[in-house]
Amino acid sequence: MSFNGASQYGPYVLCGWHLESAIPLPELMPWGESQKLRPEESIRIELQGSPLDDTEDPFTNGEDGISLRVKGVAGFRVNPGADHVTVQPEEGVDPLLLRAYLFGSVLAILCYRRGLFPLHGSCVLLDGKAIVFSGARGTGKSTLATALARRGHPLLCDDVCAIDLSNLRQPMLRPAFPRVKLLRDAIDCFQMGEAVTYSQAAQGLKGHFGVAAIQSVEAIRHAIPLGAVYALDTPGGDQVSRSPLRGKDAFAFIENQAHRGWMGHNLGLHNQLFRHIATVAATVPIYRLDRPRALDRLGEVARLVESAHSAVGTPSGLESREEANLRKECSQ
Amino acid sequence: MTENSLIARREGWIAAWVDESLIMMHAESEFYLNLTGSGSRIWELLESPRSVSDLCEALSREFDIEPDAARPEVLAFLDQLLLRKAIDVRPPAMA
Repeated sequence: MSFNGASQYGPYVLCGWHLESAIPLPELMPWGESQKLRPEESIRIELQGSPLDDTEDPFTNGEDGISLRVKGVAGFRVNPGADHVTVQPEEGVDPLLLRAYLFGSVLAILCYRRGLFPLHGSCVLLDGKAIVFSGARGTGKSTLATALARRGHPLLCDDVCAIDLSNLRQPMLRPAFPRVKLLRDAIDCFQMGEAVTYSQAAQGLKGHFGVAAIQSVEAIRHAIPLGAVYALDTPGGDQVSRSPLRGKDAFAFIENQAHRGWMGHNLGLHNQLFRHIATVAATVPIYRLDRPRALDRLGEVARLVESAHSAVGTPSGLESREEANLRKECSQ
Repeated sequence: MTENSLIARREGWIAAWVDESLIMMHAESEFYLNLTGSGSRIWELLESPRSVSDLCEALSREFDIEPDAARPEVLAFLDQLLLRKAIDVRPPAMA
């Protein structure tokens, strides 16, 4: 690794930004030749090898920018202009874990500082619209997004969904990258063995997690109209159904799923955050999605979402080969 | 609080409509309020300070009830807003 700060990897595209990095970021799509480069939309990630001060607060917002210290992983600093990220990795840190924080908390900071709203969730492209699955940890967002991706609806992002609200009437999703963090049982269920890179860390962000690569599409480079947000709760019961969330319930849900919302408030962005939450809640259809816990019912859930958003849905009763395999595998 | 008290919004609150709800937040304390129906209308009417009787008259016109019938509910609602530090109540002398 070079510690001279040179950005030798990339350029990549992340949430529409032009990104150069001193760390390889294999999740990201390369910057497109035909994409128009605007200086204010460029970000650099640099490495710094200097040892970290262990007494540093986990999160500080000072004159030299925002610092985030994750014990056992790295220190991160985002400069006040939010166009420069400095990473100080701890010795021997698992690169996958490092990138999970880079594409989690650090990406959320970049969003807040650049006027985007980071919603916690996973997102797929369905009939030209971005459909987000949001909810607390362990509610199956990534798993459901993966199920839809395997039915041919490209994955747009996982964990942080960057929403651009510069047009108040049409919130736009700025895709990140087509990789998803999954738990062991979901990886096994999807039979994704060879597509998965496993975390070396004993305690990953999701216990023992792996990152599955999903085919990337050109759409990743462009902002996509946000079509719906599905509010996921811990699965249970026997029904597969959706019901609209409105008014204060919609607001409360989005408020709760603002990615590291406390950071937004900590950065003094109360008004921005409030406006963003209210705009998403007021302009984007939000549905509560009820479904059973069993992974072998996942195809049914995916089909419900698919038929709700596709101009031409899959005729009911017809099961794709993949779905049949999935059912067989998961019921063993 | 009396009929002639002057009611004014307190600083620091921001509000936005989500469907039929007027969601309000006090930015510094991150305290939320959810107003619906006549409650949200009262907040809108308070864009500039008004007396309680003025509020009751405006509401009685819009909701088609007698001002006297509206008064107890308006006063109870304003008490709630006062309790949550969303409004200031000024005596008539200061108006």
